Amino acid sequence: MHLSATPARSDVHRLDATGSARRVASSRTDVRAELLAGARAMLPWLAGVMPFGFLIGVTTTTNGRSAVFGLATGLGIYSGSAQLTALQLLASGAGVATVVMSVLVLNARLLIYASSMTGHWHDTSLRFRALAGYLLVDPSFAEAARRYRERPAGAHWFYLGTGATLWIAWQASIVGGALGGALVPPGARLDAVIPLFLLAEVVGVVRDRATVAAAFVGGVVAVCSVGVPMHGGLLVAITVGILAGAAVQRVWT
Amino acid sequence: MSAWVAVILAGVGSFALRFVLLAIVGRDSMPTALEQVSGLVVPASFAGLCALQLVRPAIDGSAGSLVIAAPTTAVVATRWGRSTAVLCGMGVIWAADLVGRLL
Repeated sequence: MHLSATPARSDVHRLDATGSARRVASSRTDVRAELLAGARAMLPWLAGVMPFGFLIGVTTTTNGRSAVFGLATGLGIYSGSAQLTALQLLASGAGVATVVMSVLVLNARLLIYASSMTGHWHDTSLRFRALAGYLLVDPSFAEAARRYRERPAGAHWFYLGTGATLWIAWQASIVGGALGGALVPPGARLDAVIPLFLLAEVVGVVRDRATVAAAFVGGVVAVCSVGVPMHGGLLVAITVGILAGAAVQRVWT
Repeated sequence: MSAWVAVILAGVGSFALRFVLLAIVGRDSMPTALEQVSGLVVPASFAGLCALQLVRPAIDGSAGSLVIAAPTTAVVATRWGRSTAVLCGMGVIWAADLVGRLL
């Protein structure tokens, strides 16, 4: 490719080792706008996510652990269902191996999420991928999947904004629950918010026959797989659900 | 002490699950075949998570008003926003609790 001595004025090009011009990021305002857009996109999720985090914080102190301990689960495991399971297992006297295995099996869906993102992130720095990966969880993945599909330009910053917003809100709600759980009346039934919110999400993302199949089969298999050891039922359900949706895609398009 | 070990190991392991596939992706990698089905991951995953949350109370019998609240939320969500749907569902639960206490 011919190497130009004077890059175009409106774009910033950097020539990499192969000689092809790559457009690097943009002006500061673009970045800020995308970060804020990402943050805004996460706000509707927080209404359902924060009660979950709050509940985890409450469970932490109810089980006799410190707020720091609850926060540690949020910083490391960073997934509501896995954190809750870990806390419940610890409370029932389970050993380290059982707790770790159960968390990893429950969180195995993160491998699927990460795999979906490799195509979008393959030309980013390792540092970005480490941060992006750390922030990857169900709501941030859902937002990322949508944004990268609709408009990839600027999506990296959008994702960081959305992921960081979720992360901050999550940790804060855990600490809030751990410290202030006693203030919430039991009649508030915060525990019911979680399944209702997830249900509303499912209805929201279902668009066509394939997604209906994926959701329906995923849900049914999850219910049937309750007995699978190490909480493996979730991974089985997601895998079978995706396969069912893919089959519908193949047959009906 | 062992609780901390468990949580730290689980945390490191969880990050590994997130990062391992991203770490080995090089600059010249082709987009993964999973991109074709990536639109199916969220419905399947959320449905699975939701079902798990609903199945637990169903098994230990504490579901109660959730049996009415869940379909309410689902129906409202088809037309109106997520937050509205959740609020309607919670409204059902609070109303049922109130009725239960009055009776």
